[in-house]
Amino acid sequence: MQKDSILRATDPDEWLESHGDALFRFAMKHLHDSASAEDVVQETLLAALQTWDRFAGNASERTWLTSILKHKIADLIHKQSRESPFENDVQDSHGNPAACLFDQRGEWVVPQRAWGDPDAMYEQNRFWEAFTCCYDGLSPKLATAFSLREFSGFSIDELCEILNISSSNCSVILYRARLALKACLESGWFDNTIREGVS
Amino acid sequence: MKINISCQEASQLVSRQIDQQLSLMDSVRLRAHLLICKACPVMHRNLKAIHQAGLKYAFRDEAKGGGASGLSPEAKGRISGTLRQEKGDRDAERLKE
Repeated sequence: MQKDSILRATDPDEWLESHGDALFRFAMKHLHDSASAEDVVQETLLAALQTWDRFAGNASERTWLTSILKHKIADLIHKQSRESPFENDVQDSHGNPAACLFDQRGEWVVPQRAWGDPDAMYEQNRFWEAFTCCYDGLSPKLATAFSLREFSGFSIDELCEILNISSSNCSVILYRARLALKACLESGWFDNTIREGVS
Repeated sequence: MKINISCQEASQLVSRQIDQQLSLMDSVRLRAHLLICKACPVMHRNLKAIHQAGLKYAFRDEAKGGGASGLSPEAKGRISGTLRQEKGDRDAERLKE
């Protein structure tokens, strides 16, 4: 009887059916490559199978699987950061959006416009289309850093470790990513909204 | 010590404040700047909105990149095979115990 219950406890195919697509999409938002995303989803489900006994069931299955996935994604990006160091990108002034947004005294070149109520904005599909488009347009390293920090919720210290960079460079990369997203959203989504008077 | 900062420096501090606690001095500088600057309070709200949007975006269903909204049937089959094999191995081991 006991053996039976152990065997029944897990059905990996059911995990794959109920969570596979969501885990894959989450991974794609970090890795931007379907082969790597498929790999980390598989590794996640394998790890889940191995640690199922220790899953207390306090969190939902999805939350549990996602937390394993986050660490698998971080491991992969950490490995990649050795082959192609993030440090190089920070030294590079290309891809620094601040260059076109501020004058030499550090004042805004373009006026800052209010976006309106954020909660109403998050309700609109067109905002998310613009966000997706702007996020996809980030340089790969900015996108990677942004995704680990904002999507996976790693702390700045964890992020520096994953990316193999100093804390100040970590802040620089996140700053550039946010500024680039802001500039992109303002030139696309908000311009249209304002023109159509929807705001 | 310098209290006045530029809008560029203020935006750097706003971004840093999203990730970690600012030093007392930086926090004073930022607050002072936000009080005297017309443009930067708007930037402050907008950068915070991007931070919030990031949290929400992570679990939204939008297909990213090449339009893949989920695992391909091939990938599903492959993963399912690997899992079944692993589960079979583990179950066999457990039954021996």
